[in-house]
Amino acid sequence: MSLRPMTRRTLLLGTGATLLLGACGTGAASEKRQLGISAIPDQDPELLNRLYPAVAERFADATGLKVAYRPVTDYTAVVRAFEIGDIHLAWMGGLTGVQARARVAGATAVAQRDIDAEFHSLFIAHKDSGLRPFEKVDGLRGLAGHTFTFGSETSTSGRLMPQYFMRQAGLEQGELRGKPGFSGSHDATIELVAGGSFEAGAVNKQVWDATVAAKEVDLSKAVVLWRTPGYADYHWLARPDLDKTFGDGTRKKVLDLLLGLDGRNAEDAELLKLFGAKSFVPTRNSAYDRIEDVARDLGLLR
Amino acid sequence: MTLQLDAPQSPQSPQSPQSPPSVSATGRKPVSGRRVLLRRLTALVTVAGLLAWAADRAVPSGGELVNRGGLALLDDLAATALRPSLDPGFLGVVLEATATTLALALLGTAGALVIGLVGGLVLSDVAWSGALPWPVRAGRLVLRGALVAVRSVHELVWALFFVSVLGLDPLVAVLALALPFGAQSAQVFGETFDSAPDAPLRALRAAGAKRCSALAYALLPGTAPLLLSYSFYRFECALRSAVVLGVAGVGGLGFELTVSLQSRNWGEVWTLVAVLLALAGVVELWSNRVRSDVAVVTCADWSVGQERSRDGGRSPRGLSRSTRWSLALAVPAIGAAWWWAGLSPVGLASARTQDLAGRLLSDLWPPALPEGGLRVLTGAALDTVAMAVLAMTVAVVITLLVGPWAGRPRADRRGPAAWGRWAVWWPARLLLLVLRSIPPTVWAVVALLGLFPGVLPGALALGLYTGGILGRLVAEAWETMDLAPRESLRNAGVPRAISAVVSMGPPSANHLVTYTLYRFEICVRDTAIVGVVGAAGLGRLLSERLAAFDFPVVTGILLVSLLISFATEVLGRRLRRALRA
Repeated sequence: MSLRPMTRRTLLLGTGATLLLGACGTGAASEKRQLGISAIPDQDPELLNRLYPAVAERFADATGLKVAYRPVTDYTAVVRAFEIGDIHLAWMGGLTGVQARARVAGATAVAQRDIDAEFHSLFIAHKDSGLRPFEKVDGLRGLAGHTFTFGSETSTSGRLMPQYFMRQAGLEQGELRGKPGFSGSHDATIELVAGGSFEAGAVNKQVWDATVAAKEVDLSKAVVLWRTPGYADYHWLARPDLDKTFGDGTRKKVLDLLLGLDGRNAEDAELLKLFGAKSFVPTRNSAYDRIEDVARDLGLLR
Repeated sequence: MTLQLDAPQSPQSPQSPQSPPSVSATGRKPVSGRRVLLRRLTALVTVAGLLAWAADRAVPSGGELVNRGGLALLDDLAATALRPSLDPGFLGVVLEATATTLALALLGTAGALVIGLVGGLVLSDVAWSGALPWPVRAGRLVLRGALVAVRSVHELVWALFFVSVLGLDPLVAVLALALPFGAQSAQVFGETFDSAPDAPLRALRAAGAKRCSALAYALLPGTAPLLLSYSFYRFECALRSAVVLGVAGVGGLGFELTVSLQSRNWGEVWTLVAVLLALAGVVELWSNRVRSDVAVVTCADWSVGQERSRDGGRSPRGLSRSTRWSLALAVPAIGAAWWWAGLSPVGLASARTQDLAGRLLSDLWPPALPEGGLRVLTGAALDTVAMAVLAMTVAVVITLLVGPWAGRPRADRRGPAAWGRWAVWWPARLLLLVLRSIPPTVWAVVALLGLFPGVLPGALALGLYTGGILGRLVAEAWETMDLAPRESLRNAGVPRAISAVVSMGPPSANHLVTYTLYRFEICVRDTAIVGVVGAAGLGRLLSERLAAFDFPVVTGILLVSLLISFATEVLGRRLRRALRA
């Protein structure tokens, strides 16, 4: 009789330990040596979910590694996941790339699209807003007294550069009607402006062109006011420990794949079309120095 | 609103059934009628002033409230309500997400209960028996403070921090739920232990039993029904919170909802909302059943930490079949959830985690002021308070409109009148369920379609959500109210209407005020969530600074919100105690 409490305790402890050990075993092993890629969610998640699994597959073919696309819900999350090493290669915007490099010393921009060296934002407006297209940056002063929405808070083409040009034109945020909105993505901005929720907005030119080409925006409702001067934007950013973790030459293999994408090859053309580009070109960290200055100026980078 | 607020403050108002009558006899000085009037006036003016101030702060300077341009989109949204997405592929995703949400909520609750039990034992006086050495007393004081701090930071903010250290790991959701809920549970459990009769425990200890076994065999069995009831209530809360955490990128229904909202796929949004409703409805029905089985404690009681041991309650022996099954299934269910979520505690101890945690902490300290200094921070803090005040106003209006119909009709009613009452009861309960099952982040997105960004959409979103919760709490409290005073008035010949108003009015108002104060404390905390979606206040500032990785300022903002939480909690507790006494 005196043994009973003892055995019960042993049983409980034993069961607990077994459960714990079993749980430890399953989680750790499967994630090892899997190359994680991700991208800022700048567009309709459905489009991203078609594009990036295909990209992951091509990366896997090129490197012989297991590659997984980790979808995220906001721009900041990509930077965070890149910083802690859950993802090793990321399709960053200008600002998110600069933010990530500030958090991960030694991270490098490896490639951008042909359009990214001279990228443009568009200011768009609803037809009923009374706003008319203009030629010079000063024309942005006309937005005073109208409602306005940016894209994501840390979007380069949907927030950073538009805000920079608005400041250049001498337009204070307080002169807009109500507070500026943050739609979250370029597709959302287009919908909100075309739908009339906001009278004007700032949007990525490539996404606008793709939306117009797909006839998904009613051009009788939305007009382009002005195209901004060019600036450097999107790029693939690699963690410094990429080669160390996945073997020498991993970065080069990915870069070679990207630079070798050829519009005459059907499979490549499909991928390039989803990216909205004709080809990829090499790039350097220094290409984003201006973005960095603007980001510091606007308090988006410490 | 004012009528309800000042009524219970008058000392002459009838006592609510659970308060001992001796208090008014011994603890109170006689108060003149003029004084009562004065107090009522003060309360009225204070509330009116607070409301006016909040409304003034919330209305944009341009004077325009409604964004008429966005109403067309609201129309689109409503038009798709009857055409939810039924695509088989998507339904598969929804099914998986539902399982994940359930698993995370279950694991989070389990973690919270472990923290709660251990913390509760440490905090309770009964477990220590006798005089405490000073290191224990000092330790308990530190623990108490730490628990209050842990629970005044919102789950979502915890999740954002854990994501920065653990990455996209299910542990993030489990910890983000377990920590604040555990801190809350520890407090409630400690109080429960202390209120239990301690004779069995002392007898066992005197007979030479070791401390642990004495606690296990004397204290736990007696308090088990209450602990069990509370655990199920926590699970309901955890389910709602697990959905909110989706915004932080943690998987499950909340994540799918965020993605569908971002792609403006309203059909998918409606499907997800329907699933959320069904899930919340089933879990609440089940939890209600178990709770009414093991102890006579409503959700309403738990939420404000009130235990009514009315007439000894029902015997805990007679557990129904559903309760016994729920208990037997709990452990395997936790195991299954563990496996499904792919939880692994390895991440907690890894070198990378330690590295990142150290980095995050050094980033966070020392705190700093945002650009614009104290002025910006104070402005945001005032916006937060204004938002919470307006949200509570919306919630109270909803409660007053829907609450009276949402209380379960009394069993003694018969005939067509009773059928009519049941016919109203269902829609009223359903409406409250809809309001509280849809996360405030989604309400905020909808509100932002029709209102300009700022305090108002945040207040509306929080108000709708809180209204769903407050309405239920108050309705539950109302349905368990003592009818004896009304009956005796009626028997004494007082007309039906008058006897109902006179006997039921003051205690119902008391319930309403108590729960309103309690939810106000939570509402202040919840303003952090709608900030993420683009409303105003500290939450907005917080998400903006998090996006810029400006951690010192993040700490500054968190400290200020901590301060507000403390202040509202202390104030709320005082008012509630004053009302109860």
